[in-house]
Amino acid sequence: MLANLIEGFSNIFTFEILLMILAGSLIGYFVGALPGLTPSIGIAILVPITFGMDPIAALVLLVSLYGAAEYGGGITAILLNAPGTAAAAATAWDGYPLAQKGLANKALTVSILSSGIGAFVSAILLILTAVPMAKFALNFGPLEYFALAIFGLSLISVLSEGSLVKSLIGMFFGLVIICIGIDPIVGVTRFAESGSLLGGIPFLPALIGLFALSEVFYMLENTKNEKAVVEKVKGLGFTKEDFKKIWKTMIIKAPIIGYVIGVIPGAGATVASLVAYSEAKNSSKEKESFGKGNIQGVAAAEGANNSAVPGALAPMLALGIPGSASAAILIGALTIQGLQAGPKLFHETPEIPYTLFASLLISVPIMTLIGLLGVNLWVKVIKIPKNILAIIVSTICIVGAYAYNNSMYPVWIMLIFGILGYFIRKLHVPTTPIVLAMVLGFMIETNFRRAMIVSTEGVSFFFTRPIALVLIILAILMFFLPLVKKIRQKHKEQKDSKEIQV
Amino acid sequence: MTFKLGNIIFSVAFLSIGFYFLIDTFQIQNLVSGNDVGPRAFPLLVAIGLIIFSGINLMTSIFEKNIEKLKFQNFTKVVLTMVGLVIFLILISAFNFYIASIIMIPILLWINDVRKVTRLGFSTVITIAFIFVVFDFLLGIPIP
Repeated sequence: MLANLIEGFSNIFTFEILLMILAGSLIGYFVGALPGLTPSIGIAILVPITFGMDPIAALVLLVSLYGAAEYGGGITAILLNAPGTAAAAATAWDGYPLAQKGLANKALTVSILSSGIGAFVSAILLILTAVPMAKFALNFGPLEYFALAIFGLSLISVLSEGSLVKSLIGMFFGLVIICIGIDPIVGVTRFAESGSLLGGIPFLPALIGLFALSEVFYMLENTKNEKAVVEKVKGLGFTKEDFKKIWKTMIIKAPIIGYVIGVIPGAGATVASLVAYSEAKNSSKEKESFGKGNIQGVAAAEGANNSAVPGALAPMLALGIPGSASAAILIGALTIQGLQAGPKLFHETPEIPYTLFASLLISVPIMTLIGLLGVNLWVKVIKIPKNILAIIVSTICIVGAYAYNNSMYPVWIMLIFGILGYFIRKLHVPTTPIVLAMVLGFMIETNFRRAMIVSTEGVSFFFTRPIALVLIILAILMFFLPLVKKIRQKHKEQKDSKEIQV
Repeated sequence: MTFKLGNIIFSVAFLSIGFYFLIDTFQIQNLVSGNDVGPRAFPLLVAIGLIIFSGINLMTSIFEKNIEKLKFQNFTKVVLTMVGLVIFLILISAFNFYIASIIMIPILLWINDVRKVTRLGFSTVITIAFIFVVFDFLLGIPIP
């Protein structure tokens, strides 16, 4: 492992990779600072640019953007009470009151340092856990991969915000459309006789449409920009006493909470920041000062949401399971480069994950520095006219989708999915299940059929492999857990209303 | 439009997609060897899943009592932008990206309230220059 990591570091110190870290960080801050543009949208827009790149450079660029976008969300949360990302909402609870007290510099320094330290500690945890995870997964056969993909798909019930039925419609829709094209095992055509459809529905253009283009239409609904005037932030405002007060949260608690929650597929940065904030509040002696400008609240929220980024990379890199929309897009980006996320990535092309690990460690100080130096610039990002930005983004989406295979077919797919994404989001149908199904559907079908072909005893074969069985049981539990929760909640509500009537 | 009506339209649309795929599934040549379930099984299963859950959503939507309105802000502009993008793609196919952009970017900006000629021109030039420099010149990605 150490030899691979050293090789990873030697790959990093090239002009191209360092440039990618810098570019990814700058674009990430830009994306994070703009309310509406999330890390996943930023990655979706940037993926086409990576088509012609070396795989390592492409991945480093996207992961740097992913991390910096989470950082960037906190800046506008503190200065304007307008969280750039959902995960930065908890940052605003204490960050904005601090800014109102004239302590914006202190809040920003705490936020950026906590983000940097959190991401750094979390990157080390990623290195220590992803490698054994991948080694373990090397023993997996088609049956285990099938079970793993089913488990990944079961996360839809966790990821779905709102109606589970709508999430399942999205999931089955994603699964249906991946059937279009040529059958992966015997090669017969399905739902397509000729033309571009034979190649199937291209995943990345569909994803650019669902995430980026649909967001463009949302942007056009309300093109009014923030009018808040922010005074120029001067100095760091961070003292030794402040450090003494928050060091435990900043260096130990927030990174660990963020990483662990990040690893759990479906949980993500938003949950991590809320849990870390709540932990910091409950363990503090000054509970009443939370929400009124306590720097520990800022440190906990920002530290945890940035630590969740390396956490989310663990199941994606080691098992090929995307636990979030951003991870699903990163898997798509890897596929375009001819690579398959999962244990084979560590076994066949170890330079890719290890260079990524090294780049995470190197990019964190760079991102922190850019964050501290560019605060006044990131705030101005929010003032870019949304209508102009939306048209620029839609033009980039067109060129990006075209770059997929140098034809107009993926561009039309992108547009269709963009329009579809806009309308279904209006009806609170989440788009993430469609994306997850498109990533995992192929894995489910091919591995199930491969497992069946090699088995002699048919479906009962599933009960002879303990890992697969455990994963299937976990998947079933995952599917039913939200249902049980909902039923219990309904019972409680009914009970409460009866008590009120009495 | 109410949320209820929107949900009904959505359910019917996805129910139709489900039925379309279900019927078409039987056209798939089902080559089966050994224990393999064949190329028809997976599409059949997922099309049925789509039908079941779209049906459930349709039923719950029909009996939904909430008549909350669906919020569409600046809907005309959004729809015009969608139509503009369709024309943009047709023009790209007919000519090329640069000619289509010179025509369509100012139109799309104008639809979305950018009315100053200088702003229209500047934004168009910046966008095209960005695409040229980043995609074409720096990364060598073909432009339509």
